[in-house]
Amino acid sequence: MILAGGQGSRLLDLTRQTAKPAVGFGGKYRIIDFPLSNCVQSGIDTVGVLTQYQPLDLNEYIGNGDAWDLDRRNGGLFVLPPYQGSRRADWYRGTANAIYQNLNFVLKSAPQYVLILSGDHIYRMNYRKMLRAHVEKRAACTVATLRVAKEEASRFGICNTDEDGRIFEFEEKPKHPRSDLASMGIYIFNTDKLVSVLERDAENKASSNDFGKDIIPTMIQNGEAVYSYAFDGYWKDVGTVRSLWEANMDLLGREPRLGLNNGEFRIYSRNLSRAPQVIYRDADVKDSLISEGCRIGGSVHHSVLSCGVCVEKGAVVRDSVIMEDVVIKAGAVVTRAMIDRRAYVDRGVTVGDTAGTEITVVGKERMVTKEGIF
Amino acid sequence: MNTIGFVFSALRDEMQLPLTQNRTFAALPFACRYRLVDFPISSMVNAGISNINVIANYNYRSLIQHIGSGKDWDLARYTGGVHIMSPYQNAGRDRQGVYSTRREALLHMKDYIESMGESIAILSDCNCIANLDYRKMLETHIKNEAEVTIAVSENITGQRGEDGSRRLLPVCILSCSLLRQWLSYDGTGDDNLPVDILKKERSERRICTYTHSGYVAKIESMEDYFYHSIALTRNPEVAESLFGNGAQRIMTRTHNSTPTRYGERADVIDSLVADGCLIEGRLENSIVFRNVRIGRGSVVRNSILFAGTEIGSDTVLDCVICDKKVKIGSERILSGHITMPMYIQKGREV
Repeated sequence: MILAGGQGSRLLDLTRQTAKPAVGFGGKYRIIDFPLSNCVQSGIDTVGVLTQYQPLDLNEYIGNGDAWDLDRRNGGLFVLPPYQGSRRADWYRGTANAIYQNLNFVLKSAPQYVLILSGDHIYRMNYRKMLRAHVEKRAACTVATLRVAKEEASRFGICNTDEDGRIFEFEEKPKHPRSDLASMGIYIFNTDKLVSVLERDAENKASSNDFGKDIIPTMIQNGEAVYSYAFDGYWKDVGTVRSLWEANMDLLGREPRLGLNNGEFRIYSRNLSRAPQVIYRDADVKDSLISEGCRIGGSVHHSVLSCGVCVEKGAVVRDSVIMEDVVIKAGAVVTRAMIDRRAYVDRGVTVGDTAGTEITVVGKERMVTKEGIF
Repeated sequence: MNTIGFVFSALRDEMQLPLTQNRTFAALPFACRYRLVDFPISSMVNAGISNINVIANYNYRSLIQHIGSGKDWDLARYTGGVHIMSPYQNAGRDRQGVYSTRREALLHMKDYIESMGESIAILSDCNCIANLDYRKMLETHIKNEAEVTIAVSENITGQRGEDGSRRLLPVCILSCSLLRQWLSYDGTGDDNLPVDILKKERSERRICTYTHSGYVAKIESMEDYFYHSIALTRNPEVAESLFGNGAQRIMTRTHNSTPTRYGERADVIDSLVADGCLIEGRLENSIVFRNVRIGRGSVVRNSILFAGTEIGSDTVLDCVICDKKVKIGSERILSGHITMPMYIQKGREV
């Protein structure tokens, strides 16, 4: 079950009309491609995507799941928005509430285990390995965890485990973190256990119906077998403009921190077929990721370009993330910027701050001219 | 739609390109992403034709794999769709099985043609690369009340052809009833293009032409193929008009490749590049297909690198065509000439 309903308000203009998981990343991908592809590559063939905020873009993108090989006769991909119906049905009030409202869907497939994921993390993980560990430990619930820097720890749910990996302490966003082991917001539950904890939680009026704040701590308090599964690959919660920009930059450099490869465990996405990239005579492309359909006549350094971007001769793009079909006219200088789809940067305009460290965001379809942004 | 399409995947068995030794002509890769068959199929789909028959010849495994269910051209449908008709032996002939003329090819499908419901047929070869507007051509055909409409072009460039035949494109529209009639004639030597047959009856038949004013590349030799590929890199705007956009886009099979990564020392000019590549050297006037790697310090000029090719570091390539999955080590120098490119077979290691 992929929780893809969040607003992602810290992504500002990028999510004004789009749910966060539908935000573009890495040239031709969207954030949700990562959890979706991970599921398919891990052999999971039944996936529910819970949408809520501004779902139109996301729903259209997901479609029937065929781009991720999830259009199946048995199982497949299901988009699950909140719906009017019984007393229980309502807008999703929290991560646990969202799953609770969709229990009928879960039980219809009669699964033994339920994997709960967030739709807005960038990482590659084989969930089968986590499931194997869950089964070996005979856990009621397994939480995927990651070591984080002590300074970062207050942003996460922090766990403390014994030598066996069993979690005896769990604190959501603690002011004084007692360890550096953070929850990734990825859980595997035995189905019947999930049903019982969600039902009990639904009856608790004081609960915020959230996995990290309510479900997991309560389970631990009640002595349930909650185990940690240690993950040690690249993982990024791209909740802020800066972290999204950084994650894109992590795709570049001599040895990219995040590798996208074409071999096994590749990330799938839905993309319209485009023409090949055309690199013109005066182009100067270095240390960058360029997608199909781009036409480059200017200078592009250390940047990530999505499909169909046009950079005219004389334009300069540095340290930026440029989304689909953006046009950057001659003489424009774009630095440390995230420019959303179909925006237009006029001749000679400067976007972004060459001196500072701020990331400038230009929203979808905006026109940036010398007179201002329209 | 009232129109059916027929695409002949290979007719010129006298044209022995090393490139087509192991693949049928229609499956010949072109311009980073496409195969020659993409052009006629896409043009037909863009004109609203949804029933297309590709008549295969030799070595058509890669053609079948490329076309698949037709999904990438929006042709995986309940009615119509794209079908690959395999050839089979014509008993009683000297030649080994497969056809060598269009008429022979269509005769294999006689039953289908007798019973098909459409009233107009478009016949196209694969050797003329162009983004044709079949909608306009059909309109012209109907407006002129023509029995046969043949496409012509003033822009055919290339190495050969001086006479009137130079202008003809191997694309024609005719009514299905005329097509059936043509198929029922007794076979003679010149039964290739419908026009040859109908030449005899020219005064009684309305034969019209449709002029295509855009780019055309006629491929009849290895030199033609190389010339036209490299010419696209010298005229990127022409390339863009050929690939089309929106409703006139040339469609092809999609792969889930990553975006192409240009390294810190990459130096690319005047080139067309597909997805999935890692470019760390210099690239000039070249066509690079997907998943190609070019190492540091290498220089690739006037060359065509098919999918999966790997070039090591400090290697120089000039006027080279590398077929798929070629591996060229480091510090090598390989050079052909602009009029005579060097061709390296699929999978070779240098």
